[in-house]
Amino acid sequence: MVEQLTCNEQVPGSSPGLGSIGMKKDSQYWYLHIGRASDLAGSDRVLYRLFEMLPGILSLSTLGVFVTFSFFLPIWAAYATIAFSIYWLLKTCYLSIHLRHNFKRLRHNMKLDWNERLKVLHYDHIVHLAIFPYTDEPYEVLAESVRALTQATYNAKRIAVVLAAESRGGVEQKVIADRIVREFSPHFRACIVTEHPANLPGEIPGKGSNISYAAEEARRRILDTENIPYENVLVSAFDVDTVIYPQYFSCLTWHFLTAERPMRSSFQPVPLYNNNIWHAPMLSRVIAYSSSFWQMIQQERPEKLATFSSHAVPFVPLRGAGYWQKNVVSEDSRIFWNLFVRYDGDYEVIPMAYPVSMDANVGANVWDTSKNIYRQHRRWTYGAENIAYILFAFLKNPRIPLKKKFRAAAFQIEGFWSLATHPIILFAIGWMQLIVGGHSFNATVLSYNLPLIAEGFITAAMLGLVLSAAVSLSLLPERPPEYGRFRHIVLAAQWVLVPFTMVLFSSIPGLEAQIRLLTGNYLGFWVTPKRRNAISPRSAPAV
Amino acid sequence: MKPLSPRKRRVYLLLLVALFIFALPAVIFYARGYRFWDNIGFIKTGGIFLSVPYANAKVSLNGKRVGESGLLKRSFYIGDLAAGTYSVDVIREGSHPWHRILVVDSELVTDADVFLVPTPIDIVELSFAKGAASTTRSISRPLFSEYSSLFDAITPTTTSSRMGTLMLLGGDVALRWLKPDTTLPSTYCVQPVHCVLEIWLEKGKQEAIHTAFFEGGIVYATKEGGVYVAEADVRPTPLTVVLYSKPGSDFRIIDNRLVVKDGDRLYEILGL
Repeated sequence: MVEQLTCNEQVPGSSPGLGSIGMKKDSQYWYLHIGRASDLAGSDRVLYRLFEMLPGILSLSTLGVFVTFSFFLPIWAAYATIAFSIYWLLKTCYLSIHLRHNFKRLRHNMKLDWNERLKVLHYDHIVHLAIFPYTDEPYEVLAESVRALTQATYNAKRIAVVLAAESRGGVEQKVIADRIVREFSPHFRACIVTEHPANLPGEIPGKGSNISYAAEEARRRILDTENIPYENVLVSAFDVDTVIYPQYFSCLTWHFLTAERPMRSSFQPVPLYNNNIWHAPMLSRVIAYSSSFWQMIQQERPEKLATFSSHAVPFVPLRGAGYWQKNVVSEDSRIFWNLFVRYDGDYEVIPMAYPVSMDANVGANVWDTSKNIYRQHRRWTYGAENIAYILFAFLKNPRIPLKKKFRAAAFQIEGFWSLATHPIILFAIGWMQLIVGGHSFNATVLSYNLPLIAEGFITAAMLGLVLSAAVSLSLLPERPPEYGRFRHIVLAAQWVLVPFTMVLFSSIPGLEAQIRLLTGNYLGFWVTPKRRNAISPRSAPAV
Repeated sequence: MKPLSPRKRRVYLLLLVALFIFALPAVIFYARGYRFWDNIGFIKTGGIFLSVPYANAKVSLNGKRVGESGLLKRSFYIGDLAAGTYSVDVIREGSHPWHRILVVDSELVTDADVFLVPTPIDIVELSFAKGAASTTRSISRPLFSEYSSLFDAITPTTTSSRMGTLMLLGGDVALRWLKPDTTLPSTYCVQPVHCVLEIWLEKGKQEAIHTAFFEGGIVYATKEGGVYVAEADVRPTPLTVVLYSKPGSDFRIIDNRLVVKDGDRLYEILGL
């Protein structure tokens, strides 16, 4: 049932899009757009700073305790390694169940005729606002994303497209945008170009500030001009390389219209990195599918799901929360927490179990790709900055139920802690006592059995990779003619890289992000370079 | 199709948590060496670790074949052994058999480094004469003179390595562990918790004149017997093999080679 809403929900005491700079301290949600401790003063600043330091302190302490135990209490360190390896195996089993179920659901949802399902619902009034923020991406990337909208099974006249350019992108970007508008605007209800000014106060350069500006511009130039009621508008915030699958808007509309509390819900598709997957190097493919799989697992645990990358959110609550935060790196997940706090814990993410396709990270060469992947993951894992925000906002907002606060905070803290520490423990530090534990430890049966037993559990856990390989093969788009069948074998075998990628491209960037927060050496937004020689036919994943 | 139901997820979670709670202590006890044996119940076991730095050596425990070393397999861990005494044998074609009596304590691993000495001993004479026979290796006259002169020099009576400090004590040869606060190598331990600080390689029978570490063993020369290579191990029965059996012969380690002097002649012992 669709609840009644006011069209002008907005953060009390704020101007939409002004971020924390525009917040008055006497307003109810003055803390809604805090980016970092330096936005605050006095005891609040100290408290927020401590919360920023918390993830780094937890992770470094865990690793430090492990190292100390390896030297001085190697037997206890060995017990911990065994415990970790058993935990890892069981966690893999648990997550694999979720992955398998989501894979079945994804396959099911892709086969469904969502337009048929929509027929029983009244949906003509729904308008989709599709925002594509971009900086210096080539025409092909943007055009492919916009072209996919025209090929959707949804009436494109109910889609308004916003090409959100950065003024720092220069004239070239304007030329690209104008060309896209010329070529594609007749298909859509509207197609506008916004140009986000550089160096606005209270902003950091990045996607958040750009799409916030674009959303407000779209409100003014499209919604208000055409008298479109805000409550009828669903905003899809896409990454510029997002190529939708044909039924994306139909599926999204159905989920929106059938949601229990649509104005208290965001909608999350599954990001597949299929656009260039056949052309991406092995390392890039493993990382890309690992990211997709994590999102698929989260789709089956909606209470733990926050928005990520390309996502959709109704315009009313979005405006009510002041749009995306302009002063943080991880605006995609932060917007969920903004909404969660703004609506006093009465907000959720609805998993769509329907994919969108994006680019796997590809550089000019393997080294370049590795650097890009590292930076991209450092940016993603910088989502640990949400922990300080959540804890601080939870303290300031007494209306959020305590149980919800506890669950949300615990899950976030545990998530970033385990991401940064567990792979390092399992594949590196966990074995340290064998080297530094001393002769008295090395003479024990335990020291001889430890590698055999822990390795056994970890190897068994790695069998979960067989499932990963099978799922990844099923999600592949059609094989381009230039690749033979042998490529399929390579795509399955690539999963042996996982222990290596988990440490190098998950734990280490995660730890670096947390150390940056710990030391106040804050990260800026880094735009993943988009290189694309050819796009894979997206419409035919082998699901 | 609906998402995985919260109820199902809870059931899976609880099952796996229960499995973790059950498995963790069981696995830790297993890792520490606890085993359940029929008619006995739970016992604490120990193990033996053998380092076999040779290929094609056959290892047996109490007469039962354990395995054979290879290019990559250079060590054997024999676990699940009840506390007690075990006879370990290693045989390899072209080497003296190696035998050791090892005591295993519960929860501990007794280790031993297998030391194989070739048989027969390969000896070549070092000569500066041209057109020497196949059992002779030509070296230059100055090098021959240099080697010979090293036998006239006074050599230290103690020398140290990770095995301990090797001492020549009035005609006897002993290996001592002079750092009692540190952990002793297992060669000093009759059983894992019962160790000594001194291992005698030659005591009273003959008069040793020189000794040195060489390739994992200890070489010494006696006035009466010649040149020997021996293992320093307090556990029975360490290997002692005569390398050059002529009274009055002596040896030096020169450029990591074992050179024996017999009268005016020099020989090199190969294959150790």
